[in-house]
Amino acid sequence: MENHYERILQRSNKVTHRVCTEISKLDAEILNWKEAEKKWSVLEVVDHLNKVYDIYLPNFEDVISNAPSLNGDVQKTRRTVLGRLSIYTNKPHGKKVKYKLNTFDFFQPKSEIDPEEILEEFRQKKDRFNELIREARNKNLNNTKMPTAIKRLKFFVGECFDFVMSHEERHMIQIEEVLSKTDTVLEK
Amino acid sequence: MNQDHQELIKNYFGKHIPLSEDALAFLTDHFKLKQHESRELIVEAGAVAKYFYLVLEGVQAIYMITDKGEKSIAGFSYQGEQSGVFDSFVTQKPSSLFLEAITPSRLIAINKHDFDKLFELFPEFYIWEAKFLEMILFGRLSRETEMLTYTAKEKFDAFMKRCPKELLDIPQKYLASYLNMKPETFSRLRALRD
Repeated sequence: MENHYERILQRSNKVTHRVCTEISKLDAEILNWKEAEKKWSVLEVVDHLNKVYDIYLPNFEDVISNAPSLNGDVQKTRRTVLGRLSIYTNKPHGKKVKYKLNTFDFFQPKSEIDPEEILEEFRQKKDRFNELIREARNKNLNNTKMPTAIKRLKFFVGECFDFVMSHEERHMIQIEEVLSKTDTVLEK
Repeated sequence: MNQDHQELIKNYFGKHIPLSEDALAFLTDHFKLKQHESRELIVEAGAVAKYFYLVLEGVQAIYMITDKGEKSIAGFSYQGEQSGVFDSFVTQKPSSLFLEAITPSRLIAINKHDFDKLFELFPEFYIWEAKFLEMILFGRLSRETEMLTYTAKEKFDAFMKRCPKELLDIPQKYLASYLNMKPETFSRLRALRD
């Protein structure tokens, strides 16, 4: 796919803007509201996304800093079979989440969280992630693979950016769903 | 105070309205230098455009990425002209377009807060804005007519007539995309002309 990194950046910027400029203005009460004990609040979702970046950011930093510059080479986005599948199952299709997935224990959010702390952490992680996309755009990573949260499972770097974004977009739908329910709860 | 910044501001705004000393001083004060290497993204789609720019040096392209991943070029900016993603800048909503430095670029930029302040302090800038928007609208309308009714050859000829010299040095694929034709078509037309 051409212009792969520009597309990833566009998708990532959208999430940054929605969370860090719009959702961050909401009251803590709304951000902490959850439908049921086992469901996540908006902040818990954001905390989960932070935890995902804890694993992925250092991995991206590693491969990108070691990659050669693009120097006019054509950027290709290679795919693995499992990468394709993971992106497909995570990526929202329309406005609904298509497949239910469970997270790993180490990605489980904390239960008591300070809104400002979590949102500030997210803003910093998104800034770093976006910076890494810009760096990757100028590197030749066509044949480079990197580890995922399951260490033995490796994806191509461009593919991995797509995977992290698809996962994040899936959780943005979850956030929007929680928010749409809080409005009705709070209006009563 | 930077001489070439002030010169550019004077020429750019002075084309449309008489520029008072005070207004010129305010603009010179609030337009700040921004430098970008070639290929660097000046505005990113999905993010808010923070500045209104004037170009000191270099060529920039404004484009969107289609669902198929293709780059579709909407326009260029170059020396002496304005640059930026104006709709996102005005509304402070995320941009749907990218602005990229095609060649190493030096721009001067004013942020939204200072841009708004300009109109408060110097209401004559509403006249500049009316003329600016008129110019943009007419430019867009004639481009739309060209795109809808011209043949490839006619589009190419019209473009060559009005295009500043520095634009002809950038990679042909950008110019071809701007004219909505295949790079091969563009280079064939160019070869015929030369």
